[in-house]
Amino acid sequence: MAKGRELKGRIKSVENTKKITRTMEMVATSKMKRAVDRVAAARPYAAALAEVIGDLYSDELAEQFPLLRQPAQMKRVAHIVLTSNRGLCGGFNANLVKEARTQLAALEQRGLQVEVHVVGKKGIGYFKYVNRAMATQRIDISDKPTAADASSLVDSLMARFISGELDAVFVTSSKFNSAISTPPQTTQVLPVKPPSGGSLKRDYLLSPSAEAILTELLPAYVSNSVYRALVETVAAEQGARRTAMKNATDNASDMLSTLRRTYNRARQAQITQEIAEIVGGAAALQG
Amino acid sequence: MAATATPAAVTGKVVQVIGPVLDVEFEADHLPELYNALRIDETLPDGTQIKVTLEVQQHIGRNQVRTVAMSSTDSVVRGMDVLDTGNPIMVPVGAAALGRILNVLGDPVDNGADIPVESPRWPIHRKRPDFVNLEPKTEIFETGIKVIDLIAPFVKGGKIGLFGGAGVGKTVVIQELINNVAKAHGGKSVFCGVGERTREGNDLYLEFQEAGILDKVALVYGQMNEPPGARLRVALSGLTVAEYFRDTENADVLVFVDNIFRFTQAGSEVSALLGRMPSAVGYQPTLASEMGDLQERITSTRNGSITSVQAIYVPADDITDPAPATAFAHLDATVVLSRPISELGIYPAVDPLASSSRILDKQYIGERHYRVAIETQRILQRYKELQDIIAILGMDELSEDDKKIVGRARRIQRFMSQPFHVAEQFTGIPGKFVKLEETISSFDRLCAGEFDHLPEQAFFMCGGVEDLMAKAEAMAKA
Repeated sequence: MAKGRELKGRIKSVENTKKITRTMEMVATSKMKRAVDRVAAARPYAAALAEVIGDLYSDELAEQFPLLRQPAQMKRVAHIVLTSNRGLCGGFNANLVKEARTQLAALEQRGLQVEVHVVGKKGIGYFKYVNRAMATQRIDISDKPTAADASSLVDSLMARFISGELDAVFVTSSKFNSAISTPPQTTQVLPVKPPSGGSLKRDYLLSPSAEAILTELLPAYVSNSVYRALVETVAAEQGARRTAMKNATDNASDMLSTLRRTYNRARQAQITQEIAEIVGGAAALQG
Repeated sequence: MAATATPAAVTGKVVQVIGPVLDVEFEADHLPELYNALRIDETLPDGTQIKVTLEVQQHIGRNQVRTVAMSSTDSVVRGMDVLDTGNPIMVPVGAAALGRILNVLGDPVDNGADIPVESPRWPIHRKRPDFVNLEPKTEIFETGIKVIDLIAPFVKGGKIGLFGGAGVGKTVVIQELINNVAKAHGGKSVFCGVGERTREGNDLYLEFQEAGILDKVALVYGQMNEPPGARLRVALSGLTVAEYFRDTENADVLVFVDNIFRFTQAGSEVSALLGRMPSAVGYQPTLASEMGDLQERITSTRNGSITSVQAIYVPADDITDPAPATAFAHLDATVVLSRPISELGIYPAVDPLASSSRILDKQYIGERHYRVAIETQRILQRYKELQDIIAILGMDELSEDDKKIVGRARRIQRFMSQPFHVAEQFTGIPGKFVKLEETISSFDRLCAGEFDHLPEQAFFMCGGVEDLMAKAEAMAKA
């Protein structure tokens, strides 16, 4: 019976797929745990940084720092798109790419020159597919992004912003609210929007001066916000992968039960058929 | 049929009755030949007339022959007289058969006048045409049904099979073909109802009457209500009528048979009673030769042609079942109707990957048609391969190229649906006849991705491209 063998082959292949997706689900769960820890660990530092900058910031200082420069007219902007290197994470990359696409379209609508910096194989694949030139492509950022990764990504852009070559820098990344809520978002990292944290206006004793401190802190703040985008995106990727793989495992289970039922039915039909043929043959011989 | 009886009438006696199978004993040296028709014509004491025609199947020794009855054997008892007519069953052919409904014996069952005695009659068992007389030309036969013209183009003078499980729309497709082809054909057509619904036979008769082409159509019915003998032989009766037109009038004849499977089924019903050992899946061991005898006669000769469309029921949707599998090899074009497609609501539910045609070849249908058909199949094949991935992992895991293919394949699939003239009362959409050229060009543009931007729903139940555009526009407005 050709049908039975064919079904058996399909059952085997779905079983293997299910094994893989289940393993990936578990791997993603444990990786997500660590990635979430990293997101949590990054928060206090980022909050403190924002607070200090907010406290020290005053409008008079704004003119002295090129990173705070608010260009009167934007001409050329850079857009960093963070995606993952690996697939099998449901709509994760598709959502990021979609967000980036709408943002890019909106910027270009305003007549700006936009250069795209893409992180992650999946994003690169998409932009290659639509034939859009990318200023840089990075695939070397791992599941455990470091501050160094963030700096390497944004330092050159910062320099070009300071020199006035660029008028703004945006980052499209995933916001990690929880494992099941990771909406894509686009944030502006340059020019720095001064955080409004300084409502208390603590009375600091400053040494050296506020200018000196801000000179150090502002670049750190910019690369930290990129770092946060990186870790949140990684956490979101693992969360998305876990959900996607769980769904895939469930789908595979459903499919298996249908296939097994069909197979058993075909098998029993065949047995009945064979018995009927033997009995019929025997009866015909006797008659 | 009295006219056909030989002068030296031989009579025998019924010695055994097992349902539709009767054994009859004759005097020694007066045994009727195989396939001869025998008749029982008796009146019971209560006045009931018993008229049964039998066909000799076997000589079983002891001067007995084993026969199959063409009508019910109720009230037939041992000892009844049986007359050997000396001939196989003879059916009226030619003008007398046109516009009439005949049964397997060639008797009219339309409550009309009797068939004139002087009209020609031919035996239903005939030889297939000789090899040298077979018609070698191949020419495409336009049906106006998009998916069929594209994927499984019919051959003029060829044999076409419509395979399908229960309730996927075989009969509707055959009726649409009759509507598109037979009505425009202008020549003669023979419709052969084998073991299908009597109501459908009646509907068809009325439809022909309404269309005013009844005088060019012969209908031969042996439907579900008839005993296996009638269903086993009615296809031959119908075919004989068609052969007459082909051989004596050199006409191009259309033959529709609904449903060849019932022929095989009837054979299997009597096979065990005839003492044959059942073969694979309980079918008769003579399955292949029975089918061969019938199919080899449905063919075109140098004189005239028979283009036949045969509906073939597929038991339990299993196309590897011996009955449909045996018919497969004989056909020039096979149109497979599939349940998964009919479940999508796409009618006609033709499976474009399982259907094929002998003339789907550059040398017969031309470069462009061939290319478009193969490209369409390639896209659908890719979609089919991706379906498991989509079912488990979802659309998001597909590459951009594959996503495009899937979108296009779904549009192609929907575009293969078509409103039928004969189904207008059910769908509420007027039927569409799509010209071959338009079919090819619209699928060509579809494969090239020209319509990727239109909503999938707009591709449903369209005729040509204009229909599609109009629908898409209406949907955009709504």
